[in-house]
Amino acid sequence: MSAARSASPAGAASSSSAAAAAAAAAAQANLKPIQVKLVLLGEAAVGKSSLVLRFVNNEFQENKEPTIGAAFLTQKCKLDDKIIKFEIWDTAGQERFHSLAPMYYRNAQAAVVAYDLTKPASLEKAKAWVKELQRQANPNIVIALVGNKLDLASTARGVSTEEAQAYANESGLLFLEASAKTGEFVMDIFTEIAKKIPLDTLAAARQRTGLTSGGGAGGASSSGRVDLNQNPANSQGADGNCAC
Amino acid sequence: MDGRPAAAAAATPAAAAAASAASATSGPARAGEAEQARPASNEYPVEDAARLLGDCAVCSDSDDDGDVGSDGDGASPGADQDERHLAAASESATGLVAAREATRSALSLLEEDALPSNRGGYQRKHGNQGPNSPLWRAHKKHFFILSAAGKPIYTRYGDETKLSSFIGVIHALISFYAEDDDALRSMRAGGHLFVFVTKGPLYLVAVSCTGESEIQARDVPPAPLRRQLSILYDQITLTLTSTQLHRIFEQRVNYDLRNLLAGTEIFMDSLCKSFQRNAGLFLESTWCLRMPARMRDRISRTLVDAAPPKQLLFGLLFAGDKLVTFLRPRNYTIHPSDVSLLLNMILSSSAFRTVESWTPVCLPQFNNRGFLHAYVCFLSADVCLALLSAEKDAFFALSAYKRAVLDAFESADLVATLEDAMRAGPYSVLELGIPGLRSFLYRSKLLGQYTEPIPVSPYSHSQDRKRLLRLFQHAHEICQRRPVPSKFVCFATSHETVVTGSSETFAAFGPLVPKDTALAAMAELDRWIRRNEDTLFMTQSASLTMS
Repeated sequence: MSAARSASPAGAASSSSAAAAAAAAAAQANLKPIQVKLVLLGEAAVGKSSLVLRFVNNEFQENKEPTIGAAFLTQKCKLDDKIIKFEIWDTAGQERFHSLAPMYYRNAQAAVVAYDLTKPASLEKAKAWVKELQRQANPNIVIALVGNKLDLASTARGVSTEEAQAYANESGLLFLEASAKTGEFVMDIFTEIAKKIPLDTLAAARQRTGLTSGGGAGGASSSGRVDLNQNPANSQGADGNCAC
Repeated sequence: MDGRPAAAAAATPAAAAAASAASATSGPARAGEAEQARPASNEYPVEDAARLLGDCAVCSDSDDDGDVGSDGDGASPGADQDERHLAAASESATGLVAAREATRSALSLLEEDALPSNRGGYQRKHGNQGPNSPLWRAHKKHFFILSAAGKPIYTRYGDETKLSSFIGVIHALISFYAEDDDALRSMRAGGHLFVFVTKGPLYLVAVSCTGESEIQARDVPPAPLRRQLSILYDQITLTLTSTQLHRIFEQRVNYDLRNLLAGTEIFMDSLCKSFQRNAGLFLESTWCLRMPARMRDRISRTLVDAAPPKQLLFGLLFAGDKLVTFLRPRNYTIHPSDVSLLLNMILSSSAFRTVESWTPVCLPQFNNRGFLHAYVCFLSADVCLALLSAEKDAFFALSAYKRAVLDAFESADLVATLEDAMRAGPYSVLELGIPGLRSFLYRSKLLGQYTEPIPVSPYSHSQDRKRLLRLFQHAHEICQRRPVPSKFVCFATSHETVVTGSSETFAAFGPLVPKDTALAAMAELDRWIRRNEDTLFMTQSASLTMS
C-alpha cells in the first residue's frame, strides 16, 4: 500500500486543497475515497501519537509532548484499486481522559491499541482497552494490537513477541510489532487493518444512505458533515462528566 | 542577580524552617512572624519540624554565608561552587563527618540531578532533583502543592517522590495550626518567605527568597505569592473542575492526585515561569496584538461572516502570545484570567501545533464546576484559533467552521496580514519620545487589557526585566490597597524609580529622576495611550447571538 501522499491533515493552509486534489484523483480513477474511522488507544507514553505522525507525515519527533484530549488527523491510502481515507482520533493516554474514549471509539471501524514492548504494564493496559472495545464498541470493529518501540527490542524488550501474539490470537486481534522511530512496520499496521475491513460493504452502506455525495471537491466537505450528523445520534450513551 | 546574600546556610527551605525553629525555641526571635500564630504554642510545631527534618537539615543558621544566589530559573550554578557552599555551610554547622557525608552524597547525586526528567515525553528541566541536591536548593522560588492528607501533588523543581519527606514537614506545619481551626498564612525564616494557602482540599505553598519585589525583603507582603498560588490552583481546576477535585477527596482522602494530573506538569511549569515574565497574570488582563482598528474589525467581521455554528460559545484568535479578537455571545464574557490559562495551555505544549485538538477544559472564572470543550487549531505557525463549546460532540461543527474561516482568511490574505501585524506591533519606549521614561505597564480597567513596550536597555537582560516586573507587581499591590493611599505612588530603589499614575499606569524611571519630571512624563504617557487606544486595545469584540 502506498499512502496517496496528501498534505498534513493539520487543517493548515494546504488541507482543503490537498483534499480537493486527492478527491480529483479519486474521481479520475472513478473512485470515491472510502472513509474509515480509526481510533488509537493505549497507555500514556507508549507512542500512539508517534505512530500516527509516522503514518501521516512520515516524521518522528524525539520526546514528543503528551497529547491533550484527542487529536484528529486524516490520511488517504491506496489499497489495490480503492482509496481509503483514514479519519484518525489519536487519544491521550492519561487516566483523566479515559472516560472520553467512548466518544471516539463509538463509531470507529478500526482501533489500534498500542503498548510499549519495553513495558509489560502497558500490555496489561492494552488488554483492558481491548476488553472495553469488545464490550462496548461497534461489534465489527477491527482491532490491531501494536507493540511499539521495536527499535528498543534488542536492548530493553519487556514483552515477548510470543506472549503478545498468543494473546492477540486468542482475542481475535491483528498483531504487529512496529517502531514509530524507525518507521518499521508502521505502514503495515494500516494496510493490515484496511485489508480486514469490509470496504465494499462500507462503501455501499455510505452510498445507500446518501452520505457520500457528489464528486470533486464537494466530497470532502460533505464527508465532514457525515460525522457531524452521526455523532449526536449516538451520543446518548455517554453523558455525565468528562473526566472520571 | 541582586547583591543580597541569599542565605546559603538556609538554602533549603526546609533547613530554613529548621533554622527558624531553632531561633523560635531559643527566644522570641522570628517566632512572631507567623501571622495568626499564637506565641505560646508557636514553639512546638517548629520544634517538631526541626526533629522531623533531622538529617535533612545539614545546614543551619548562619544567614550570611555568601550567595548561593543565582537565579533559580536561569543558570544552574557550577558543581564546584555548589560543593564549596555546601561544604562551607555544613562545616560551620554540624560535625565534619556529617559534612563530608553530605558533600559526597551531593556529588554522587549531582550528575543525575542535572538531567531533566522525562514525564511521558515532556523533558522536565530540574525534574530529577531532590532535597539534598545543591541544585535544588539554589532555586530562588519554590512552589509545592499537596493534598490535605499530605500527599505530594506538584513541585516546581525536582521530583515529588524524592521530596516527600520535605513535603511531610510542610504538612506537619500546616496541620499543627489546622487542628485548632487556625491557618498558617506565612512565615519568614532567614531570607526565605513561606506562604501557605489552603484551597478546597489542597494545600499550596510558596517558598521564596526573591524578595518578590526587593524593596525591603522584610516589608514585602506575601500577596503576590498568594496570587500566584491561586493561579496554580486555577490551573488544576482547569484540568479537573472544582467539583471533581472536591469529589475525589471526599471519596478518598488519600488519593494520589498525580494520577489525574499526569501530563499537566508542563502547564504548571510554564505558568511558574510566566509569573516572572508575564504582567497579564497579576494584572488579570489580556495583552492584545497592536494593530489598526480597521484591520481588527475586518478580522472580527470575517469570523462572524464565516457563520459560527450554534454550538460555538467563545471563539478566540491569537497571534503568538497575544489576543487578536474574540467572539462571544451577547450575555457572556470571558474573563482575562481564563484567557491567560487557555493561552498558557495552548502555547506551552507542542502537542497542539500540528493537529486539530479537542479537549475538555474548565474555565475557572466562567464556571468552575463544569467543562467546556476546546477545539484548538493553528492556522499558521503563529496564528491560532481556539473555539469553545459546551457540547462535547461539537468537534466536527467547529472543525468545519475553522475551514470556513481559513478559506475566508486565505482569500483575503488575512493570515499574512496578521503575521505582518505581529512584526509591526511591538513598540519600544523610545518611539514615545518621553524623556526619562524607561519602561511602563498600562492597564485599561474597563477593557481588562494591558499594554507594555518591548524591553530596551537597561532592561535588555532578563534579570533586569524580572526585577522590574516585581517592582511593578509591588506597585500594583499598593494601588490595590483600600483606601487608595494617594493619587500617585512613587518609590525608588538603587536601580530605578517606579511611579504609578492615576489610572493603572506603572512607569519606571532612573533612580534619581526628579519627581516633577516623572509626573510630567506620566501625563504625556497618558496622552500617548489615549491617542493610540484603538490600536493598542481591542475596543469592541464582535458579539454573536446565541440561537
